[in-house]
Amino acid sequence: MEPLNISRRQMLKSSAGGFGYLALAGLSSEAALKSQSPLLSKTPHFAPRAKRVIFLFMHGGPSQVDTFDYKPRLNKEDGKRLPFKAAKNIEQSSQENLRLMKSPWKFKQRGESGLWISELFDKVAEHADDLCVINSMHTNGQSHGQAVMKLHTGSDSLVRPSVGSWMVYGLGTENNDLPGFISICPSRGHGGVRNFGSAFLPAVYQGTAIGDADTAAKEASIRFLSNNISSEDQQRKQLGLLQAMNQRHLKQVQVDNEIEGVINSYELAFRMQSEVPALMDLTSETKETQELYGINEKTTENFGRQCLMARRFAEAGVRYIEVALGNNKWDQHSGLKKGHERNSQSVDKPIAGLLADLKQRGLLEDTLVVWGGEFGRTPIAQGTNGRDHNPQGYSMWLAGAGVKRGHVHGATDEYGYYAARDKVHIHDLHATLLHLMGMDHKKLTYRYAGRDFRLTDVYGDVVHGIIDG
Amino acid sequence: MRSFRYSSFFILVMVALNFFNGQSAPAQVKKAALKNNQAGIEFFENKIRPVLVKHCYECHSGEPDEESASFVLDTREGLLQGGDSGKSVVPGNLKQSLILQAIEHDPDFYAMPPDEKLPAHIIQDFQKWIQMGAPDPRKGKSKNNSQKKKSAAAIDFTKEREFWSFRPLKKPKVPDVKNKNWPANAIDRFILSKQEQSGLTSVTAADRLTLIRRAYFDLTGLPPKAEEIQMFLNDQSPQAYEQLIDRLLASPQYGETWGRHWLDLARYADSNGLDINLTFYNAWKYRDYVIKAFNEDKPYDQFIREQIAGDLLPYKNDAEQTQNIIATGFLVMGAKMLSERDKEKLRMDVVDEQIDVTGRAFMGMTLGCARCHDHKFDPIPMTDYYALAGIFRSTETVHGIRLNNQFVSGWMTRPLPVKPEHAAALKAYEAKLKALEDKLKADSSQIKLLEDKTDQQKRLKKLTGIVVDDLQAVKTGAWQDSVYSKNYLGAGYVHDKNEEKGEKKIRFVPDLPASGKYEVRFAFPGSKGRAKRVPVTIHSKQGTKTVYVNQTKEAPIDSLFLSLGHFEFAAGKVGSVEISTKGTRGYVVVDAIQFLPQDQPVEKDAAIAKAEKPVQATDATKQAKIKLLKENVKNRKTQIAKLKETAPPPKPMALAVGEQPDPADYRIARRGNIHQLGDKVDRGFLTIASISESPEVSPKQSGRLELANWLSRPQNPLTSRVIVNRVWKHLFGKGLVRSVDNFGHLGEQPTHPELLDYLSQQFVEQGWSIKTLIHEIMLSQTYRLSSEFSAAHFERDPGNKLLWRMNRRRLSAESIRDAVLSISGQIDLKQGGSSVSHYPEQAVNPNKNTKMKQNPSEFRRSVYLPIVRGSVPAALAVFDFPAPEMLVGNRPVTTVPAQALFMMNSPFVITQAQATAERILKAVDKTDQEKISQLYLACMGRKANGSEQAEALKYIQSLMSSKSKENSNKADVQLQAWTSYCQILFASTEFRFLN
Repeated sequence: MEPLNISRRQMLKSSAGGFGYLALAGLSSEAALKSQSPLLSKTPHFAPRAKRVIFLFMHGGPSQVDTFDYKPRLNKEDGKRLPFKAAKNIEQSSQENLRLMKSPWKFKQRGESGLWISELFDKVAEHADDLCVINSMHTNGQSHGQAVMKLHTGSDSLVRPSVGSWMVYGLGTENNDLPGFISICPSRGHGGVRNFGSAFLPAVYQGTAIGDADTAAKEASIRFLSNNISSEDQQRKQLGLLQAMNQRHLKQVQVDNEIEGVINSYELAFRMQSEVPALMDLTSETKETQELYGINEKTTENFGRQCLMARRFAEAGVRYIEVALGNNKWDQHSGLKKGHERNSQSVDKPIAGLLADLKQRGLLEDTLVVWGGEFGRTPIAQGTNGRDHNPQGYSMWLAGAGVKRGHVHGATDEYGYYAARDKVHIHDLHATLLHLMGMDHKKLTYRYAGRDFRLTDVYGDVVHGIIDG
Repeated sequence: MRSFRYSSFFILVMVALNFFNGQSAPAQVKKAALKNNQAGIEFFENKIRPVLVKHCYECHSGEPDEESASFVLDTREGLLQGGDSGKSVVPGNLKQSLILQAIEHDPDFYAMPPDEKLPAHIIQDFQKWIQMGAPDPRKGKSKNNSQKKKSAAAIDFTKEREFWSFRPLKKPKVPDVKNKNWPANAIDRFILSKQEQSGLTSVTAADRLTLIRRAYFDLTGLPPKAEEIQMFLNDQSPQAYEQLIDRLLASPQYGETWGRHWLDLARYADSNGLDINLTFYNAWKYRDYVIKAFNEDKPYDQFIREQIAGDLLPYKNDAEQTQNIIATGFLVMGAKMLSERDKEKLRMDVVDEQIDVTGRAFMGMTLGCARCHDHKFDPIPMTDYYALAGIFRSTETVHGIRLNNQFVSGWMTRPLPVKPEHAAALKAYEAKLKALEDKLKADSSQIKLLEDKTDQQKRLKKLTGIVVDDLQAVKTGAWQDSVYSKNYLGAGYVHDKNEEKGEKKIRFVPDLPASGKYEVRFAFPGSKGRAKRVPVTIHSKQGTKTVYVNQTKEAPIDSLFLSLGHFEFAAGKVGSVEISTKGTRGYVVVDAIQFLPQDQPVEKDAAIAKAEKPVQATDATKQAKIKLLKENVKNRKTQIAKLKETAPPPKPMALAVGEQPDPADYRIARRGNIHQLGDKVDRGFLTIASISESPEVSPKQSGRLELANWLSRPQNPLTSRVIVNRVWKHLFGKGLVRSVDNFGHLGEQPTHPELLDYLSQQFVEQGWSIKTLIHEIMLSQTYRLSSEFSAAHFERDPGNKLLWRMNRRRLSAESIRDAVLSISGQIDLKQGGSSVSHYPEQAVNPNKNTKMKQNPSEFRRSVYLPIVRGSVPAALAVFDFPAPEMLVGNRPVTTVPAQALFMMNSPFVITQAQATAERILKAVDKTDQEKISQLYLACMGRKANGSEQAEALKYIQSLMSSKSKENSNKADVQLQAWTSYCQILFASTEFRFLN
């Protein structure tokens, strides 16, 4: 499928009888931009339930049996040999040496819905009645790199466009002055930029990174958004002369889409220079809001800032926003107790704050929040106090636009190892996300290297069981 | 179990019945069979059919659907026939009945039903039913889907060869044209002929200023310098232009520019990318090889052969062999999912990537499509894909492990030939180093032992009874010390190196405090790969007894010990335990023997003290020894450091492929699933592009050599067409075939098929010389046209398919950066060499990254910048430098705000603008007007006119007055103002575009 927009060239072709290129050349540059921008807001395949997505990515793989998937039997049989067969290519030791390990955390039923959530997410649990937990996720890839890329691009071995890129490709943006896809503090490893890259889709659909996982959220910025040489006024003057020269060049060559595109890109960039820092400036938020996200506390400050930025971008019309707890932080092969506690302490309050804030602003109506890692962790002990990767069964949750509230979908087996009931593969989740955004994952295609590519390759079924109404 | 016997009997009876044609069988048996049959049908009706209806029919009934359900389960015939992957049910055979794999959710197959695994008892019912012979009364025909499918036999290759790109190459006649004056060569006549047919004429020729800027950027990627422009303008000779072209083709910058075009196809990078982003320390050699090949105008057919099979080609000398090996880096360059734990999958994913790039780079064919099914659009059957897969699977690309992790694969690197003196120096150095390191190691472990530092030491100390460690045992033959497996006692254990079986023995003699009954325990770190039957002989009061010990598993007691039994021993050094390697297969490992008294407890410490005698020493001598050893360690470390300083250059290595020891054909992987292999396919090439007899693949080699020869032969209809079109694309911005990487049915048709064939044929005839081809094209009038606009022409041919003008092009990412550096005077034109030697082993680390130090050669040409996957330099990435994981023959040209931000704010552009300003301000003999004009000439390739000069100076003046309010230093302010202006020039569209 070609991008849904009408290119200027096609317009010239189709309007040859009416008005020619000269009439078009007379259009204002704004209108011209709109007529050719591939980012122009597009009509979805059908009525969408959600307008935008905030994806809270838990890099490293949080444990399902310690968070959202309560397994009393696992606790009872702590230390016992496995009553099931270990998955292929997963365990490093032999079956007879593997032992079950109970969760060190207590689970409680929460809210009116009675969702089981562990004490690691006490604050998120206050929103239990808004959550739609999927306890039957499964994916491909036993290693982080594979699973992270599978989660972000649908492929565990090849470079493919990321989910956000497909979204912007299919839907365009709501705000022409901002990128359509933003990734806040992404990890640089495990695929790195490929996880927000557009691969073979045109570069306009790639995600824009704000900082990276090695940078504090406070310092995070879009690259080259400002310089310290020129004042704003001086830069406006500089741009003035530049654009005058460019316009003269355009006039001299008469018609050239690309030159026109460059001229527009300078205008847009200049607007971004003022708009993005304003959006990222959290001081304009009330003290209550800042506290809601935990920005005033050391443990929650970083992730809190990321979440609050995400809300501001969502409000401003960014289509797809990823917020990452990056650098593989959830990867507790050992030190599960310490590591998971440290992580949950840094994200629990900010996430709860985000949900509360979106709700009070009415944004949860058309914003979909997605939480999860690239896989889960084994109910089996690794060493004395760790858990290995568990791609064959894990949990993610969604909240907001279009999904059921206070709902649990699917289940793992009694020990939380294999997804067992109403299994949801990551391809199914991708199909569902597109569906909620008003797109048919089988129709959103792009032709490259002789094939019509999809986010879901040849797989994926929409999970109707989690959709509200 | 019972049901199995029952059903075997049933099948036997049925066979017997058939054999006797049912007539002579006793009536009783017949009756029994009927009864069993009845029971089978009942079982099906009760247990199987309802499950099929409930869980399978939704997709697997009615008509098979090629894409999602290639077979049906609603008739017995459909069930037995199966689909793409094979038979769903084979009566009586559990292994071959794929339906079982599916319902068991085998990770290597399909998981059916997809959303939920059936309960175990239902799966057991299916097993039982299949063992019963899969009784099933259902009737009805199933539409056989596999017959409908296109197969190799079904493709009409003769007809397909009428398609323009598969047609045999013939040299077309150069057309006659009306306007005899315009054409400069045959190219122009092809172009003009088409224009005349459609009543279009071309615009005027480009002026000389435009022409020299175009020629410079196209051939060298750099702008012409002011004096070069002047020289060309002054040269009135008719050969001036041709001489310019020849001069530029001969410059080293030509190879850097055109080599880079090739590197886009080779997905060149200095790191692996994907998840384990390891640095490719040797990739630069391939990059330099490519640049050199272009500079030397290596014949393109040879260039192909070297990249596909350089390691298998004959060579005259070391230099040639070196180049040949390096060239195969083309096949290794792909991004690999190194952490894939299914190593066969990794291997076949790499093969797939190699097939894909080979197909697209050399032939413009999208072969990857045929991995799972016959190509949907092009005449490429799956068998062609797997014929190539056999070749690449017999090639070694994935190799070894990295990061000390069994799950992380590595890739092939190969040593390059070195001079004998170098080899000798290396050998001597390595020997010296090893000797020192061995001594260091020995001393260090001795210290550890004396200091009792390790857990294993502690473990040994804690043991009760009498323990004889391997250190104290009497050894016959060469036993290797080891600490590889961690479950040992004391300082380590020993193994027999899996060598000289039967010649090695090890004997443990305890000094027992009292006579009596002892339990004898044998300590060894058991694991896979170790010997299965190790003879252990116990000499006791009762005589001699030999026990055979299985060492392939961990020992049962505390993962350390195995009990050999209870024996009577006399006091003192009388009894013994002897371990032999006789008749063993696999490593024999020996750690210690423990004697546990069964009669009365023995004072532990006393026993240990006795047993450990050789290790024990008085405290003072022990301390002295430790001190001495530490001194030794320190000295050795200094010696090693010194030796390393004077080390000869390391053995040069290259990213390169090799041959697998067991070359073989591969099998069709059904639906691309490597765990579902079908028929074997002979190794070979594309049927469609084999116009004459193809070479046979040697059974002793991978077949790469034959592939290389087949690809590069003149008769291959695709190879020459594809490269000629690529060259055209780089000179005109668009190819004669616009889909440069796709010459199949989904690609575009050539705008000038005869011209493409003419040039391709001539290219082959003239020895596959790229420089000759470029020369020919650049001398055409067509290339020399201006890019001026014409409304009338635009109306008729907006896409400029008839080439009525030159396409205006945006400069490439490299050209923008290199031109800026060239204008600022900062450019470093040094050629070749590594750009990533200062990188860590993981170019990008998934857990934490420290900022990379400034690239020591940051002003080198862009082609030499580190191309780390996932971390491409911003100056390149923003201007559509392709993702280095992917083959890109036609870079997209996008206009995104990130480019504008880069021009407005990046430190690179600002510092280079300042360097430019400093440079121009130094020309004190020039007026400000002249300075502006000079800048214009450098950036735009033309002088500024009066009003442009005035506009510039007005801007500079106004900025100076505004800046001087903040800063009183006049020189500073002047520099800042000129810097700001230079930045405008770099950001301007006229600079960024090529007319």
